[in-house]
Amino acid sequence: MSTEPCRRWCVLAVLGVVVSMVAGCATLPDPLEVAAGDLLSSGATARLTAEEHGAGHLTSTAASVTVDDATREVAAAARTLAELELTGRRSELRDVLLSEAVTLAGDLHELADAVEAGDDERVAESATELERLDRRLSRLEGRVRSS
Amino acid sequence: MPDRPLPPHPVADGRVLDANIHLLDRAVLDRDGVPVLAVDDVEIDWPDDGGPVLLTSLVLGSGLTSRFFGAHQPRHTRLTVDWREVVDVGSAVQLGADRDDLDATWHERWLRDRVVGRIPGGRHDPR
Amino acid sequence: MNKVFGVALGVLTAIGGFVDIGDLVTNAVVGSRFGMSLAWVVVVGVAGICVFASMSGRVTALSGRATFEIIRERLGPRAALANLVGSFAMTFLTLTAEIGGVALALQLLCGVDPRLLVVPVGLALWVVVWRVRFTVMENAAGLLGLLLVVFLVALVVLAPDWSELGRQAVSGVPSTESPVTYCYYAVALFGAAMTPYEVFFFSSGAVEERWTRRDLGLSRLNVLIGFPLGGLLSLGIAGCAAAVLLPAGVGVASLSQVVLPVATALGVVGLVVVSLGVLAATTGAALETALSCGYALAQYTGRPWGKLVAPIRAPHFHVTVAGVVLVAALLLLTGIDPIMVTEFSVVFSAVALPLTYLPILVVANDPEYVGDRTNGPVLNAVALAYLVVILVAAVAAIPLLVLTRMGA
Repeated sequence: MSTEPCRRWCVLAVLGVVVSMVAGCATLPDPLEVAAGDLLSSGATARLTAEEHGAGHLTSTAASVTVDDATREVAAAARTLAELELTGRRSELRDVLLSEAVTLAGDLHELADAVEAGDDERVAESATELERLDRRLSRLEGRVRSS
Repeated sequence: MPDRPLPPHPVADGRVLDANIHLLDRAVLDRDGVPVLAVDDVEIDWPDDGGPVLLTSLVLGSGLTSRFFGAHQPRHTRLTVDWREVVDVGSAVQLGADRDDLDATWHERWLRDRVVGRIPGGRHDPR
Repeated sequence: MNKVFGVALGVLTAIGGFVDIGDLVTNAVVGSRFGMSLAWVVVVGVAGICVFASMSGRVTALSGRATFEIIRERLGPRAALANLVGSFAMTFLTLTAEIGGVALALQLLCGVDPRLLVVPVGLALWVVVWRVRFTVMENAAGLLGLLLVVFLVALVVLAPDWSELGRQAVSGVPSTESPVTYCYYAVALFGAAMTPYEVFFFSSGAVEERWTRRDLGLSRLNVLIGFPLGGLLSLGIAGCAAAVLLPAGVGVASLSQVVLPVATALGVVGLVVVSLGVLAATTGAALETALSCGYALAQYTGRPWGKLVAPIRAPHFHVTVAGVVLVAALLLLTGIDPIMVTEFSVVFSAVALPLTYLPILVVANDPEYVGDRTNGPVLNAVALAYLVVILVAAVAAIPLLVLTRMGA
C-alpha cells in the first residue's frame, strides 16, 4: 500500500471523529434526565431484588451483590446531580431528585442490612417502601422528561 | 540503491522467483517443518563491476524497522540465514537446517532456557 | 456412531461457545431498553459470522495457513502491522472484559469482591493454557456454556405476551429512545455477534485440531447449526430482559441485573445454573481471546505457536499469552468497571472487523490458497453484501459512540 491514500484516509478518519465530537457536545444528553433515569432504574432493581428475595428466588449472596450494584448506580446519579449545583444549574427538580437519591440510598442500605441479617420481615418492609419510592421516581422522571 | 538501470531479466533454466512475491513476508520452515520466523528482508550482493546480482541471505526477525523507515541497519546487527540453507521455495520457504542451529532464533532459545523451560510443566508435551 | 458423536459435540460446543460477555451484556442492555426492536441485528450478525467463519474455516483447512500469516503475505508488512495492532488491541480489550466477567460471575456465586478475584482468575486461566489439552479445554468450556440455555427456559416460564414481543421486533425505534441511540446499539449488537477474535481463533483452532479437507463438511455443519442456535441464546437473553426488566423500568448496568429475570422465572436453581453458565461462557471466551493474542503475534512474526507442542517449543507464544492475561488482570485491579469495558469492546469489535474480514474474503477467492474450492457466485454475493454492512458499521461506530456518550 502506498502512503498517499493511507494518509488521506487517516485525515478523513480524524476529521470524522472531530466533527462527531463537536456534534456530540451539541447534543449532550441532559444530565438531569440521565440521573433521573439511573435513579429510576436502580430503585426498580432494588424493588425487584427485595421482592424476589422475599419470594425465595434469590440467594442472599446474589441479592446483596445486586443491592451493592444498585447502590453504586445511585451514588453516581447523586454525584451528577450534586455537580449540577457547581455549574450553577440548580433547579427545583434537581433538589427534589437529589433528596430522593438520598432516600433511595438509605432504603438500599436498610435492604442490604435486612438481607444480610436474613430478616424476611424487614425485607418485605423494604420492598413496600421501595415500591412507594419507585412510583415517586417514575412520576419525577416523567416530569424531567417533559420539562 | 545505486543510480543505474537494473540488469535485464535473466533468461535462465529453472524457476524464476520474484523476491517480493515469493520470498518477502513468507513463512520460513526448518527441516522438520517447524516455523522459524517470517522473511523480514533479503540481502542482495550488488557487485560494482557489473557482475551478476546475487541474493546472499534472508533477514529473519530483525529487518522490519529498516524496511518501514528506509534506514540501513548495520550488517552485524542483522539476523540472517544464508541463502545456501534454503532447499525449497513454495508457499513457504523451506530450510535444510534445524531451527535450533540458526543464529536468528537465539532470543527464542534464551527465552526457552531461562524462562519457559524453568516453569514446571514447560517441557510437558500436551499430546 | 462416532461420527454422530463428533457432529453433536461440535454443534454443542459451537452453541455454548457462541455467547460471551459481550453478547450477555449487550443483549440484556438492549432488551431492557429497546425490547425486541433490535432483534433483527442479532439475526444479521449471526448470518454474517456464519459466512465469515465458514470462509476462514475453508481457507485454513485447505491451505493449512492461519489468518495472520495470510494477512501479512497479502497486505505486506506495513498494512499487516497496522492490522495486527488494531486486532490485538481489540482482542486484548475483549480479554479484559471476559476476565472481568468471570470475576463478576464468581461474585454472584460466592459474594467475594471481584477485585480480589481477578488475579486468581488470571492465574487459573494461565494454568489452563499452560497445561490443558486444546480439545479438552474447548469442549469443556463449550458444553458448560450450554447451561445458558436456561435463558430460553426462563423466557418460556415467564410466559411473556409473545405478540407484544413480536410487535416490538417489527416496530423500529421505541418512542422513548432517540434514533441515534438506536443506531448506536445496533452497531454494538452487531459487534457483539460478529467479534473478530472468534474468527481468527476459529481458524487457528482449526490448525490446532489438525483440520484437513475431510473435516470441511463437519466444520461447516458446526458453524451453520451451532452459531444460529447460539444466536437464539442471545435472543433469549434479550427476550428475558424485555419481559422482566423493561416493564419494571430497570436499565441494565451490571451483571446481577442480566441474570435477575432468570431468578424471577426459575428461582434459586435457575440463578445458580445461569451463574455457572455465565462463568463457563466467560472463562471459555477469556481463554480464546488470550490464545488469540498469542496466535496473532506469533503468526505475524512467523514464530511457532499453539498448544499442540510443549511450551518450550513455542516460548514466545506462551510468554505473550501469559503477558496479556497478567496485564488484563492488573488493568482490572485498578477498579475499572468490567461492564463498561465490555460495552467499549463490542463497539470497537465493529470498528476492527473489516481488518480481518477483507483479507479472508480475498484469499477465499484465491486458488493459490484454496485450490478449486474458491467462493461460489452466491457466497461471493452474500459476502460482498456483508462487506458493505461491515464497513458501514465500522465507519459509524466511533461517531455514534461519541454522539450518544456511549448510549446514555
